[in-house]
Amino acid sequence: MPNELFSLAEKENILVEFYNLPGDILGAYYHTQNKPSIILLHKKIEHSRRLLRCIFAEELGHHFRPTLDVNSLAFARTKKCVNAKYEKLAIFWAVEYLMPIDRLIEAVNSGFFLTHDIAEFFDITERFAGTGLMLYHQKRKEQMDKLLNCMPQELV
Amino acid sequence: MTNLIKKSWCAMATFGGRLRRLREEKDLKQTELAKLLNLESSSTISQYENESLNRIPDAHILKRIADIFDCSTDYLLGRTSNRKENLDAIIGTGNEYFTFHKDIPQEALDEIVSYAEYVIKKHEEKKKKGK
Repeated sequence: MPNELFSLAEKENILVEFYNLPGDILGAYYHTQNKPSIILLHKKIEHSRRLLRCIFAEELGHHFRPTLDVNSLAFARTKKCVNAKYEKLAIFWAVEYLMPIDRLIEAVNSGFFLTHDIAEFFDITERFAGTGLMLYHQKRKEQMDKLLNCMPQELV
Repeated sequence: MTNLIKKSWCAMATFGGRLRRLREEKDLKQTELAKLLNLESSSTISQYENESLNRIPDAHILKRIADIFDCSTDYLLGRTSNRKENLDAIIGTGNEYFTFHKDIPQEALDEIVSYAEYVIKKHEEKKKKGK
């Protein structure tokens, strides 16, 4: 449930608000010096549990993997993305938080092979599961190679 | 069923054309795709793509193809041009929502920042009052 994310945000002194964000922006992270950071989430994803979890975690990733800039503003949107370095860091934080690799190995070993199944297992969106597998494949190659033996190849 | 699909054929929006495009996008050979689909030979794939003998896969294989290429079966059958239309819940396509973009209009940025500042200000005032 997103509850754990909300309490994590509270612990880290991050404000969280639902707001009708303009355009196709679904989530935003805003940080200024000496002030609490804030995460804005679009109102329309409030009841879309999986999407909310993924976007929320990604925005939290910006808090835990900050840029060097004093002020920062980051978005989660529906459109296709350009890969920026710190966005990748934030996503990877979210991936490690929502689908830890040891539990992923557990899941695959117990028969969750497809991104669809993995998304079901971790309660995240399929796209996020796909991104997660891709990033793990890049960054945790040894562990993923072992997993590869029992997964259809097109997934990673 | 085949006839129905045939009627709506137009360039590319056919099952064969779409299958070929998706396969080439993934850099898969016909033999590799056949293997993934547990088909005996790649000639089946070739027949699908060239629409020879009006061959079209059965529902099980169709579903498997949709899984492999991460698209909807409607897209494969040429009923929609949106690849993932039926898959992503509520929020449009929901794809790849992770990133920084330069095409957001300045007013939108201003709106977000001013709202964020407003919430932070309110929060700090509340904190002060609490003390």
